[in-house]
Amino acid sequence: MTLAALRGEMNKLYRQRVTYMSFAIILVLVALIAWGSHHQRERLDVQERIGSDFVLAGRTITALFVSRAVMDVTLAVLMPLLIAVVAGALVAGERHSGTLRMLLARPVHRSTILLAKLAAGWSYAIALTLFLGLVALGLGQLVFGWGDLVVFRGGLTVFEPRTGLWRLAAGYGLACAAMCTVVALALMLSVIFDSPMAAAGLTVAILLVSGAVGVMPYFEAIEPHLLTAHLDLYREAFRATIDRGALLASGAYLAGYTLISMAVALIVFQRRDVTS
Amino acid sequence: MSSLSGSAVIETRGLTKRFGRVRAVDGLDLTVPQRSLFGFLGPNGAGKSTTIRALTGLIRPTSGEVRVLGVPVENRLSLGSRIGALIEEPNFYRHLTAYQNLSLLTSLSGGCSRQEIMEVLDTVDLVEAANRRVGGFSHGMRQRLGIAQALLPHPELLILDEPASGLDPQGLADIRQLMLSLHEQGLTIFLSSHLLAEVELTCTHVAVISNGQVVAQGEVGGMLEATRSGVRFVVDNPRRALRVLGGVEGVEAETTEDGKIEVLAETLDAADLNEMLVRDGVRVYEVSPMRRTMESFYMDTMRHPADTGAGTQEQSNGQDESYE
Repeated sequence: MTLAALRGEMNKLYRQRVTYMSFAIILVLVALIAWGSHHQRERLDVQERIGSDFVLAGRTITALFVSRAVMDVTLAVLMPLLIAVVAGALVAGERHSGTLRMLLARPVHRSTILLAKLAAGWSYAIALTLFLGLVALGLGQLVFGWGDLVVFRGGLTVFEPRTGLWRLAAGYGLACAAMCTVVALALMLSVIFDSPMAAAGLTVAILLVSGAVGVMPYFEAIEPHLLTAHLDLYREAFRATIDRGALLASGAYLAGYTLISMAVALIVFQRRDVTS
Repeated sequence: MSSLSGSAVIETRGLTKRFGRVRAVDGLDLTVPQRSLFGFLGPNGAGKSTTIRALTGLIRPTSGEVRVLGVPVENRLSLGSRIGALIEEPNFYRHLTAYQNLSLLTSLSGGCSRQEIMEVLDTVDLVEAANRRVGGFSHGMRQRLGIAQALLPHPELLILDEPASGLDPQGLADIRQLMLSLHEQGLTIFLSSHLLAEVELTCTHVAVISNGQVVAQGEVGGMLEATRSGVRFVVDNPRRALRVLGGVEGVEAETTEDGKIEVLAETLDAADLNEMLVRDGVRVYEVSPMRRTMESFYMDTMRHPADTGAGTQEQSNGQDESYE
């Protein structure tokens, strides 16, 4: 029954065109970034960023660099937004369209349905995140070619291509975990609210408010506990030396947010009357 | 509130559902016998849909007991695919085909073979639309697809909420035939409807609810059978006929707007009444039995719910009994 529910959710999700709009948006965005970077290669020269005391030889903008750079551009707002739109509709959309009662009138545990929806949402978040990385890598390769992965953050770090690729894979893996937390949050709001737009909008609003609060000195004490403080844990993969403690702490926070969101979602979903 | 007998297909005792301060269903006692085609009637807002949602586990009753196929509704998952339900307007995944929708929904009830799905689509005359997206279906097609999903895999009890809503006359006739055919095959059908004539034509039993309570329930035959025989006369002199019959004990007579005489008599039959009229010089042109319809029964019940009582097989005895 659980497999049947999962297969059903996957069918519903991946057989609708709107699901692929996010993939199209990502494709267009990455293409624009690659195209724009190619035509302004001079101005993007990293030499300017490291100052005149150092000299860099070789190519700095490479496929790995592009694939890494698009993470900063998309993972803070765009990807959570795209994911929230889909995950926010998983329950609220069905309630809104009246299909939820057809589903729940069947002899299947509500928790099974919800967990199947969570799994479908996770599959979507993971697919979209990996698609971002692969498209950026492909277009980067096409436009800039292969080479080292150069990272500017708290200094300059250069990874040779093989290591760079592994770091990139780890970074995208961590980004997938972060986006799965966004799915859980959106799914919880989707269970609580009747409107899919409200669920998606509130998910993004929570992330934006959390992000804004996190940069205010007054809230310094709570900042480490905010979700947005851990959504960028992918950056840990690109440090010269990976801070395992920080990685585990962020992972634990994401797991905590996911578990709490799902616990609330399950309780509400089990108890809530289907009246629409 | 009496206890549940366990022999009925659907049984509720004291079923109550509150939404905030509103009591949508208020101490509902309902008994649906096995193999009945049970009409569930009531005005909008009477609590029909809330009751059906409680029977199908979509809402939690505030209080009271509900048993479906002998199982408390809280444990309805143990019934598996023994219940099929169509609740209000059927909504499907518009981007999926009719076949895909049925396959998806039935997979949650244990699954069905392609052949079984196609057979049911054939039953509701949708075989040719099996591979069309539901988004392009007409209202009638969606309605029939709704019945199809309720029929899969193999339910013993079919709960249908307004299955004929919005259908054209041909669609109504098709659904009626389908109901009768399914009932003949041994299914118990619980049918909520506003279409009183359809209920009269198809149902074996009926319950009427008002303000969340059952105001009448029982066999349709018993419901529509008047306690006193009703006869309609067409005569040459209605005023004289009224005077003749008005003086007879146990007989109530009145003229209709079109000049006919309608008579309710406790002991005398049409022949006795006719003889009395003729003997007094009233020329009788036509004598016809007055038939009570589901509509007249329903309207009477709604006007005088207290006359019919709740939870029993009742017949209205009031002066306002109306006939056709």
